[in-house]
Amino acid sequence: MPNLGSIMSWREIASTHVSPVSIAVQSNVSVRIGESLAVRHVSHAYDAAPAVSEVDFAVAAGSIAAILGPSGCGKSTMLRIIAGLIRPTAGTVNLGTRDVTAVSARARRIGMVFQNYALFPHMTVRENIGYGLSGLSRSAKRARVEQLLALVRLEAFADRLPRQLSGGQQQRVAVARALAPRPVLLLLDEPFAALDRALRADMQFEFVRLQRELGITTILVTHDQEEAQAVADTLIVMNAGRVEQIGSPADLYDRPSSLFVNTFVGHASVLGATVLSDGGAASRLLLDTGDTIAFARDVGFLHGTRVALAARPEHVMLHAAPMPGAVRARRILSVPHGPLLVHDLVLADGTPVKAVAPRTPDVASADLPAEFFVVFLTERCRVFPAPSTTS
Amino acid sequence: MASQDRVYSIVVRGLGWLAIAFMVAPVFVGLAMSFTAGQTLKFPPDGFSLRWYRALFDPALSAPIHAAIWNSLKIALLAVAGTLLFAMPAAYGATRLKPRASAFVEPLMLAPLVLPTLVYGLAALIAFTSIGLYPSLPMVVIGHVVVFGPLMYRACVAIASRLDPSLEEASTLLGVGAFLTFVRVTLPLMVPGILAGTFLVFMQSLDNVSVSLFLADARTSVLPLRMFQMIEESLDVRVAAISGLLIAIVFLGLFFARRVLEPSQTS
Repeated sequence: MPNLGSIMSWREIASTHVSPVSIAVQSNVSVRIGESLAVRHVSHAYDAAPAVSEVDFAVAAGSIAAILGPSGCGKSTMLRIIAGLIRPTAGTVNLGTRDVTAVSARARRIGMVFQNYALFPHMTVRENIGYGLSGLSRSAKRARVEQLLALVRLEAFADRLPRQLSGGQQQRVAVARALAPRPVLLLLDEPFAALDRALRADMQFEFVRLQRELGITTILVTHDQEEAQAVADTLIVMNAGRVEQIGSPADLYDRPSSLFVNTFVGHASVLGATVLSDGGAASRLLLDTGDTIAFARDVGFLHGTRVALAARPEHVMLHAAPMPGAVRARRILSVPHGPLLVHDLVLADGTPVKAVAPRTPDVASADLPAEFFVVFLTERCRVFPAPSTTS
Repeated sequence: MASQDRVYSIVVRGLGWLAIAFMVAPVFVGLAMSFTAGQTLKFPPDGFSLRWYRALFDPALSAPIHAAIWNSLKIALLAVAGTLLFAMPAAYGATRLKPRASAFVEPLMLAPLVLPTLVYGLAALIAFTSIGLYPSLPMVVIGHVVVFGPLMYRACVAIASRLDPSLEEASTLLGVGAFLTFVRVTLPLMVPGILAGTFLVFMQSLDNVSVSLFLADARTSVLPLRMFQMIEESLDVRVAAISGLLIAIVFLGLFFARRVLEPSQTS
């Protein structure tokens, strides 16, 4: 599904929608701002196999950051390093002004929600939430547990065992348990992955509302770029153990700094091409199809360089008739997506291209032409060095 | 095809029933003999009476048997305690090792199962006496802990290896130290394995001849040795009555194990 960059994120919705319930809850919970996190030049290797290298980022106090990347990119290792479950081979982790690299996981005051929630199966919801409150008096502990039960709206389920709860309820218990000892940082490992799609959106919204109320610095790890965009203020895109790019969801979508980010965050069609002219204010690309397309800007590569052109679906214009700068494309499939029609096209050299256009009601996909002439909005498209064939 | 399936089904069922018959029939034969009204062990029994059970419970008539039962129970309970102290933590530790290390440790832990217990009993006797320890009840307990430790180990490994490591990580991140994490999270979740191991070790210890033969002193008579003597001397029917009691205890144990463990696993 193409990401159109226009999805209103839960952050925006949550900040406009404040229900009476959440106000009532807010007055109950002492608002505390979490601490900022800084990860400095962190590298780690498992038995000499590097898992993360030179990872460096900072997360502002009270904000939500998402570490986003495909499986095996090192994002879970990074989360465990921040939690203190893994001691990195190099680099430091700082919470606020403290260097916690040498501090044990137990003493870091970090809350974590595990991917499978890791609820203690032999304890009730109440016992799970109260587990980390051993330092409190009995009455203070009970009050804190009640507060958290109210916060995640599970008062009615307090005496159930985890297996008697739905996936969404289990997730809320895991969040409440992590928040109970008032951590300065909350970590979530793929927190919504185990939930079905419809529930996921609700839980994401609920979670963002909670995070806003508490102001706790939050880092979540996910492979789902839509989830990351919907929930996080800052995205940290990782690939092969390294940080590819850090930025706001819009930054990453509009100005990806690498071909990987361009294709991983939102969809992009990738076309092989060779740079034709260098110098000057304009440049041209010779596509592998044999067509030439013109750029109003200097794409920044020497003449003859092999490059990859990344075009988002909304930057691919479709025309019924040939025109200058247009590339002939065969239409394979057109799928309606709400008010839009998503086209799967193939260029002459076999390169797949995805395009999206407004859908005319009552026009069947079968009636669309079998061939289109495609114009790339070159001012929007990004040009990257061609990926090396070996990788 | 259908007739082949039928033959297959008949053969499989037949083997199953045969196995059940061989396992269960002797139990019933023993049980039936214990209710005999006659003087000696024989099947079919001569009439029905509880006289041998009465005789078994008579404190004057069966004092040596009671002493043996008492010794055997003590040994079995102490052996269970010993395996809980050594084999259960070892099992937990082994599941937390790296695969290569646990592959190295596992055969060592299970070695006593493979070694003939008669050989172990003799070897232990020689070894113990050479350092000045002579056969006694504590020696029997030590022998049983060694020989039956692997049963507890296996039962606990089976459970501990399925425990989610993130449960302990969650506990750590909630500020709870390693020992309390073990007590509050790991141990309660290992209870099914511990109970299974306890049952196995207890029954095996109660039944053991070979180790007790070498490591028990003359004053420490244990039940299976006592029963063996009774059969040798006079085909005493009280031996069958003891078996009857043991069978009853096992069935009660299994019944309660189901009642106690099942609801917590299914409801």
